[in-house]
Amino acid sequence: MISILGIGWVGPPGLAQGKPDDVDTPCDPTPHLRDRKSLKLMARQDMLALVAAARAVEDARVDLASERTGVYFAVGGLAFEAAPLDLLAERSAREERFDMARFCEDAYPALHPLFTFKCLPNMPVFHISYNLGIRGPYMVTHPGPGQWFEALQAACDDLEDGVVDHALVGAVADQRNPLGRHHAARCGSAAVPVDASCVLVVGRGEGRARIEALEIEGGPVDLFAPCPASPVGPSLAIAADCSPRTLEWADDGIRARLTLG
Amino acid sequence: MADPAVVVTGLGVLCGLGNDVPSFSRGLFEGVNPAASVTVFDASRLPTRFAVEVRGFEVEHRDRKIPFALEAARQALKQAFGGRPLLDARVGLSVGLGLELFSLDDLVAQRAGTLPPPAGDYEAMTRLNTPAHLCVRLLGHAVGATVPPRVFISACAAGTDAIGHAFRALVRGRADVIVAGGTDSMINPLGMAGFCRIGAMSTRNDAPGAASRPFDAAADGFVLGEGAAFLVLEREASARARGAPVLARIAGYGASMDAHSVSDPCPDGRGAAQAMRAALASARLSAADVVAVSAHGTGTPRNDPAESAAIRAVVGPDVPVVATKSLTGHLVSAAGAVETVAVVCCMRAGRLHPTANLDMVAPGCELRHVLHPEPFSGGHVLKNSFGFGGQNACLVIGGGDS
Repeated sequence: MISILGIGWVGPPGLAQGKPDDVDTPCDPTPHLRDRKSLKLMARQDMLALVAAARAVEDARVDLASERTGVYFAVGGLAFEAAPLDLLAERSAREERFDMARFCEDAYPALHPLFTFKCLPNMPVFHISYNLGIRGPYMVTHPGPGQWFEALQAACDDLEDGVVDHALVGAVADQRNPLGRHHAARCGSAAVPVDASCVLVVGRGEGRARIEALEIEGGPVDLFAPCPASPVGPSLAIAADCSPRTLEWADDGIRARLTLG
Repeated sequence: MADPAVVVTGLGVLCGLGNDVPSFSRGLFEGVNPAASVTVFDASRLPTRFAVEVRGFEVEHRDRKIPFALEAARQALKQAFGGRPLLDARVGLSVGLGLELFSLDDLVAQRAGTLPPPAGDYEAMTRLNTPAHLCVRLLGHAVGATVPPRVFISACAAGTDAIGHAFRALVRGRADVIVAGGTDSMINPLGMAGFCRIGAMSTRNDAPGAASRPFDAAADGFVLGEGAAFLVLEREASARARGAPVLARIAGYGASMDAHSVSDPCPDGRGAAQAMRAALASARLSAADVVAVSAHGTGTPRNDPAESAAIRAVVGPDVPVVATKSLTGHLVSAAGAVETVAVVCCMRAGRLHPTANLDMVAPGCELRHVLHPEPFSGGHVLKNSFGFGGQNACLVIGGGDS
């Protein structure tokens, strides 16, 4: 029997009611840091993921710091902070066009050496593993809810096969940054951009809810079908209501059916 | 009942070493790294000014990894199924995908207000960057996917993770055929500048072909490559039923996290060794069954000794080790897939390719390095891939039909 043992999430006010405020999510990862210096390596989605994971672990009340815990995560589209984007744009331009010479002479030296690590989409999983001492297998995927269900399935497979004893199954999306807003605009989305993360601790035995069945189907998707939604949706729905029920989700050509008991 | 065997029935590859499997295989055994000055943009003022670019392949899409992926997948499917559509089969896609890096040209023009209106829906969707879902949908259509795709963004481990998860999905019967691999191109101003800024790349600009030096004492960083590789994976029973030759087997997969550093592996290779042992366990094999290792081998001062420690700990110091990145460069999200194809090419050729540019073994990197093509008579090969953020992946690859 595989169950949800703990849930943790972080998001803007109103998110749990389905009406998120149009504000940045308050999020302070420092209580969960192994060392304060790792803060300078963290992008916003890393902070959100760590806080949600730490809350889920606390909720589960299980010691997960081991090789027998895995992390299975879906990350939203590439996020990029405004400050380095502004720097790149301003210091790479000559006569309103990108100029490689100016980029090399002006923008490049001004770039913070650690900015690369703030762009890599697998970093939320690193920060969770590093700060919570988790050293088992992983799966890092993106960009939408369908991939979150795939991550959940991979976690359940690993639990059934005895590869892990516990799994952190989560999602994070930072939509409140210039690239995120650009993506939302080209997708024609008028929804409030949300930065949020939700993590479930999944393992064997009794918990908040049993995972009784998970079915995922899909097929070819038209190139210009609606863009995938934030991957955080399904887990937030479970966080809001993990009573016995069947959660059905359709997005990006993927149809998932999760039965909780 | 034993797990069903998962076999490889098709291969496709496109990278600087070759634009198809035969030319790629020749390149492996010629043992020469084709790195040269970057031509796709003006890199003349960056600390690193060279890379292993794809040559002789027309790239019409601004996101180079997309046409690379479509071509590699096409090759693999053609070999496996002769270009025929797969009717009545659950077809999956499992792909290691490079970053949705944005265009600096578009960024500056957007800020200046000089970006012209997009010419159509596709251009509108690919302004600034190409969203991942577009790449996945294009690939999904190209392979005829009928089950949900799995997408992996574990950086340098992504291609290996894609193959490993495809293996596990087939064992569990979640699909009948899975086209698994990876694609990436970070040979662009932001990609190269990012790696240069953290000091990860070689600056041997005067001798690009000699710059990718895994395990060598004179290594000064990795050399960026680009390209894609895909394998057609299916259960052996279905391959045999239609008379398809079995090129190789995927026998196991393991993964682990170092929880050590954002950029550096555990110096003692503990996390890497854990992934290797997990892969062997999933294959129900022991270290004695390993006849060679295809290393992650980047030519960076932190990875190579840590990986060497892991290899010694798991299989001992006398198992032959090859480092494909010495020839292809580092293809990041496509690396694991391209290097898996290289392993299969070695198996088919009956010999291991050499590691290029290894003149003096760096301290801590003492292994049985393959410096010249040497006979390979069968057995299992470990394929290692280790990503930034301490994500470690390992495949166990077995031989196919002789």
